[in-house]
Amino acid sequence: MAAAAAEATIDGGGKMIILISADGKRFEVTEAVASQSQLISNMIEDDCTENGVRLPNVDGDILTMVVDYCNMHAGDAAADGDTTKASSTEELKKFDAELVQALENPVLFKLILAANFLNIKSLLDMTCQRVADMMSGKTPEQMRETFSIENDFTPEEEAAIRQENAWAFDD
Amino acid sequence: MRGGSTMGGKKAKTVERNDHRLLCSDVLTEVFHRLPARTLASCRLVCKSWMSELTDPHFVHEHLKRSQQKLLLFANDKANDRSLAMVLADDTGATYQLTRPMASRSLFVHNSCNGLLCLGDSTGAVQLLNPTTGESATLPMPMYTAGSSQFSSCNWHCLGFCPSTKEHKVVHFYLGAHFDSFNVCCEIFTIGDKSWRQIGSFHGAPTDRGVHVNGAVYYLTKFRYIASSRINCLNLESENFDVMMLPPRKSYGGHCSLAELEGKLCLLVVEGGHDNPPRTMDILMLDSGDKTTWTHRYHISLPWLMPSCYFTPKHTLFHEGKIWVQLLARNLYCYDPSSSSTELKMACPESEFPFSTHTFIESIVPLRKDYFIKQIQ
Repeated sequence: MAAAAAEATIDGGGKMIILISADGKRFEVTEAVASQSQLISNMIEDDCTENGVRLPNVDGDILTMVVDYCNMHAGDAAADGDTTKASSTEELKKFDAELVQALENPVLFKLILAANFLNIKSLLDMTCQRVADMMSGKTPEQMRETFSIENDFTPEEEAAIRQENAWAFDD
Repeated sequence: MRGGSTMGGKKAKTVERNDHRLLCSDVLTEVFHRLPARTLASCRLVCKSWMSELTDPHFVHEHLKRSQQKLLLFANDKANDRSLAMVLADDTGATYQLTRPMASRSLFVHNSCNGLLCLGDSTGAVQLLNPTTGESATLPMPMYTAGSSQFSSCNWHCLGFCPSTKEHKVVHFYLGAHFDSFNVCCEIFTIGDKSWRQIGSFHGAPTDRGVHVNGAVYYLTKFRYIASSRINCLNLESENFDVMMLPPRKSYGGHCSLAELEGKLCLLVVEGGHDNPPRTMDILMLDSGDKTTWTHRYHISLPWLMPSCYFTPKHTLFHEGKIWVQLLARNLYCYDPSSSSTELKMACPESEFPFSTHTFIESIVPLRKDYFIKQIQ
């Protein structure tokens, strides 16, 4: 995967950067691809990427997805010059939809944490929106199940809250 | 940073490791911001930490900023003893209805602000309701309620929001014990307080209920001629009054009223009078920066109405790029500034019930300062 990512972007120009996942997997990407992460972009500016960027919070599997995503989206982020390998909007949409649709919740949540940590706004938007879509229309019980959350209200508190909500919208 | 292993720096967000929850709180906040208010209302019941996050004033107001304004029609269905609030959602055109606890009295809406409805009844009592969360609160009786069988131009309430202090306040204007048609009394209730506060008596009796725009309540005052009317303004933060003259204009025709459109104060001027049926309405908009410059914004042709029906645009609102005007009790009209026609057209068939029209935002604004959090923790 790392080799494929490097090869795909070799004509993108610019310096190559090595990303190292928590479990030691290495990914070689161009600066243009990596700087979609605001975190790495800041590090590039500060000139502290030459020995590779260690990402102790991101597993290899998740980083693979992130690198795939960044490679696909490098075109729309790059303001100047080479747009020959920029994917069409339609292709991108299809790629994005397939990326998040297939994910099981725990993986999706890890991807969100990675997008948040690396500060990749478009990926964070897309993954958070996916969770938001999943939550809408769910009852509190269903949400607790989705997020493995324990109900820590006492029955009295719950009753008090429900009594408050005597008015309600009906669909 | 050599060696590339440290991920410090103020720009990096922290991630809690070994978090037993699946999402850490700043990411969860990102998700919450993308949820509609009605889903967030159920999210509050999931657990205490979600309740705490979702009643936090900072979160609530950030969420409010992203919410879309909608149109709400409020009516009482007397036969079935219930209130109906029909929200016109935009893209779908869907409506939904409000059910309320059984009550022997019918309610009306004074106004709406930040997703809260300020409701009144024939006794002069005031109730606040957030129909999205279902939370409601009855305010203590105002000090003066006599004769408030319905609101009149000199007895009305208006809910407003003070952006600097993030407080909601209900203002009550009424004629005091010393009946004097040139003065009006004012009392204020701050949501979260225990009682009403008397603010004083002010020159210039209102000709109609006031309008809340961005932290201030405005109303037109009575004078012998419309052209010499003034606009009184109560600042909700300082609780001080200010007076503005109407903008100079060739003719003030038959009728003037105030409205809030696009977040700004507007003056609606209807030409024509009793003998001379009104034909047009001009909308002038006050500059929200200098608060003195009025710009002529819209010119609308009015539909033909019964000559005996004096034209009063009851509620005029801006919604989805269009201007909505309620005429009579059951008719909603609409003007589309992007179309070539200046005509005000019927927006929906005459309703079964008399209704009132309000702009509305679905919000999770709580009605108690601490909701249940303080009691729970």
